[in-house]
Amino acid sequence: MNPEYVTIRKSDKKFQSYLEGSFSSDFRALPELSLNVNTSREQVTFRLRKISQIKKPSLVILLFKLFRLDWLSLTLGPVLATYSYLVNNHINLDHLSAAVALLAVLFFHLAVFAINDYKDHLTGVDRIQINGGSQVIQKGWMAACSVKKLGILFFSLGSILGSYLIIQQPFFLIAVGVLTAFSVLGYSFYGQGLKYLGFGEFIAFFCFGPLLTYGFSRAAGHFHSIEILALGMGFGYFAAMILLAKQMENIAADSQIGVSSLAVRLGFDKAKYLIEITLIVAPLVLLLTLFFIVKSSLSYFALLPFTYFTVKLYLNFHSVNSSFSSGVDDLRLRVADLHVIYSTLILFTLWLPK
Amino acid sequence: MKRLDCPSLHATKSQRMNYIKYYNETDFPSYLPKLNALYDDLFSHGKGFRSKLVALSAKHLKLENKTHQLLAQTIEFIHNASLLHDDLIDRSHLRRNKPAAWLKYSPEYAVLAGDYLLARVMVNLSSFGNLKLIQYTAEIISNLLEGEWIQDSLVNDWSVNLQRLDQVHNLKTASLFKWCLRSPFISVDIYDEDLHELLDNSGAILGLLFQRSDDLLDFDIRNYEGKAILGDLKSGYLNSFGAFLLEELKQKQIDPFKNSQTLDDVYKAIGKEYFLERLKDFDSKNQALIDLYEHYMSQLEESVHPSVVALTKDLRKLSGLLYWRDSKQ
Repeated sequence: MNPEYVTIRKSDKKFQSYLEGSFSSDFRALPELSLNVNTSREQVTFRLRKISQIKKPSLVILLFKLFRLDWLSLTLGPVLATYSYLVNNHINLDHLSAAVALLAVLFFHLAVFAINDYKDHLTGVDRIQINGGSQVIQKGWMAACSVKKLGILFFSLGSILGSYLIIQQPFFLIAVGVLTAFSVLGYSFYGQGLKYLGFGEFIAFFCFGPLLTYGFSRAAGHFHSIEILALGMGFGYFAAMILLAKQMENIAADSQIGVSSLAVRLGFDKAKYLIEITLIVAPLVLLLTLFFIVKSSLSYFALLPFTYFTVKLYLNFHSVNSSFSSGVDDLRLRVADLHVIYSTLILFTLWLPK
Repeated sequence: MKRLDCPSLHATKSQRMNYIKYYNETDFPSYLPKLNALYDDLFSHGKGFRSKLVALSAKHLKLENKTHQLLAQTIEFIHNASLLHDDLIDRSHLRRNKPAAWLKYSPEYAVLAGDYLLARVMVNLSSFGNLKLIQYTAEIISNLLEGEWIQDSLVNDWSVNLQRLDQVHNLKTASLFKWCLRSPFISVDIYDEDLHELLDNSGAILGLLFQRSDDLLDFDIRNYEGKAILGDLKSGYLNSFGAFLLEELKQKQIDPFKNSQTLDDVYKAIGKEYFLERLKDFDSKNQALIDLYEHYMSQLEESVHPSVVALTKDLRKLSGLLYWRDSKQ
């Protein structure tokens, strides 16, 4: 028997420990082939590697990848934009609460991506999808159980900081907290996770958009307005676009394992058409945000670079004629870049004179 | 119906031609013009590897001659139907060193001839009466067509990555290899799920190794038969080794690469040293697959079916043979 490989069935008591990486302190089990994923007949062939022989990146890069720090604009973008809006509209700020809220959001960001990675590894989603998750677990850089512990740690830290804020404004912030918790748990944990049942875009829009801007505004400034919600909608739009792009990347794999994402339900051609429409509308979203919220005549120059990048992405994507084309690879990362550009431009323009 | 004795290595060309010709007059009406001539051209000179794979299982399972014949014919019909369609889709001029059917006869006849082969598969399997075999074969044909569809969408895509191509090859090449291993067991009503999963995994790896080795041939690597090279590249298709070569290169190196007409052009575009280094990495990658295949063979040996244990001894040799293309490996 080849000592390097081992095939274990779900019915085997060791299965969970191999998946989680807790079966040994010297070896890591890297999933090579997963069959009948997420069914009672699931079996996984693991390649056993000595932990000391696995080539790992530096701790900084590893954590950067695990916590998707290149996606920080998803959470910090709306928060910093809200802070900028509140300052420039002379809303009285409780700076301590603002700092606590910012830290809480950061911790929740780290927690959500870590826990999502763990869950998707266990359910097999990231073992099937080519570039699913951070791949930190699948490459053997960290055991799944360690990722889970880190996720729980950061979730706890975020909750503790969140509790401090809730004590000050129980009604508003409990509502925000409960909605967020349901959304996050539903996204990742409810059965297959609501993201797989077609609610992912809605949750992404809400959680990385209006809920975030409204929650931060209440926490830091005891303030809310329609404009704060509208500010969040722009960010939420691009967050939902990122999710749709990710679904497009994985449309074939999702279809095969029975995941009912929006892209799968629409099919390749209609999903492509939808993404193209969202790209065409993207400069309009920026324009509306500049007009209704930023309200500075100088800010309209931001449309130029943003439209340039959007058109570039549109033209590149328009030439894609298959879900296997290279034009679909890393689509979510390119749309995430658009989110970063949007966030940066909004942040910058909010400080321009009105 | 032609006899199915496996020709020895010293068989004459005529004997080998007869061995591959798995049809009889009732399958293909003589009143259809040019049909039999087209199939005579198509089936001659093929290696018949897939039917030989079926023969391995047939031997150990002691299948009836009639059943063995049916399975061998089925896989050769499916495979050759895909070749007829492939050549037309790719506009390939040669098949097995002879003009492709669509060129020699007509594109319409090539399409219809391919369809007719698939139709005969269904007729013949229906007569055999094993519903699970029919169902499984239909799934494999569906996978094959899906793979062909996707592959066609990747022409002139010079940034396609290896994992995507593996998915395509899993649908196209590997599907048929899986069928060759599993169908003999289905034909005698052995449906053990664990066994079939192992055969499926093994067939997938064999298919992938076969495809990757074939893709290396296109770059004149281990091209012992002296086949024409760079055919894929000239057709605008980046095969698995091509994709692996270009993985880490910039656009300014990819452009001259894709316009290469000779191997020297390839070396000029990306550097011969780089080419050889990547070849070494590619071989290591595939050796890891061979090791994984070995793992599945070890699991098969623990099977309760004595015929499976005996079959494993023959199957074990195949991975190295298919990839390294040297029976001494």
